[in-house]
Amino acid sequence: VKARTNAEWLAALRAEGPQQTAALIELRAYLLRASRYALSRSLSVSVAPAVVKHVAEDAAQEALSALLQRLGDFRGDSRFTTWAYKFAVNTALVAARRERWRHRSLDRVLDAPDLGQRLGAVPVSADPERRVLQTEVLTALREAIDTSLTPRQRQALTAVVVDEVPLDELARHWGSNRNALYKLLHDARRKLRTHLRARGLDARDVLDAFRDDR
Amino acid sequence: MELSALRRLLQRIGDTEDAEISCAECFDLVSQYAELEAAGQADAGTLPALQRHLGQCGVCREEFEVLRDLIRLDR
Repeated sequence: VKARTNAEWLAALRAEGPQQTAALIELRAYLLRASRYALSRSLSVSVAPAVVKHVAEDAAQEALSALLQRLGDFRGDSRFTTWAYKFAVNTALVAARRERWRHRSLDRVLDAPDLGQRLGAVPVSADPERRVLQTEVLTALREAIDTSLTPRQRQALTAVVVDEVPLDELARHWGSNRNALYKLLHDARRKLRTHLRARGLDARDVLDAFRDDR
Repeated sequence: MELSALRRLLQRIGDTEDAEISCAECFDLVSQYAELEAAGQADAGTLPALQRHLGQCGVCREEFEVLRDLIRLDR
């Protein structure tokens, strides 16, 4: 079968009758393929095949609705099928993260000791020169976290950056959304960067002091 | 805290820009970038704001990588 061009996809999806139906069936098959692939990459093999199948089909269906609502946004800067895939990859991976975190308590992760406190427990080097720089950085970082961040920024930064909680899972838990949470973290990082710079420290430059030497 | 977590925190702070694009803006650009990457045509100067977002946002990065690999499989 000859692949459709971008223009042919758009025309068929905007048409009515059998032409549109055929395009929708073909598109749904593309989305299902993308969502199955995304789940195969991200869900553990221990998840039951029936569950994976169900999640893949739901994700493809949700992706199809989202895509059709945004058809007018397609600008043609990629193949239409690539543009379509990203909707399925997004919905499938959001669902996979939800599945992965279903049995883990986010509340427990969020109740972890405060970030400042945890920085106090970072093992410092036995090498005296590195130890001095490490202590200086840890002290400045702790001070920046304790004085310039809101409790919510501290909690989000700890969960997402330190404990690697997926952004969309935390957003869902808090009744927020991915964009808002990204912005909250961005504001927090900016404050920390500014605070460290005021003390003559660039977070990138001091990374080397914390390479693993054990 | 593990050293790896501390390094991740410092890296993200150090790479912070005054202006960064949102996850929604990343989603708008990622199909274009994923095709360029899959074709080996992307470098550091390609869609830099998007690349910086992918450096900061683990979930957008995961979605980008799966999309890029899916495009490669289709070739």
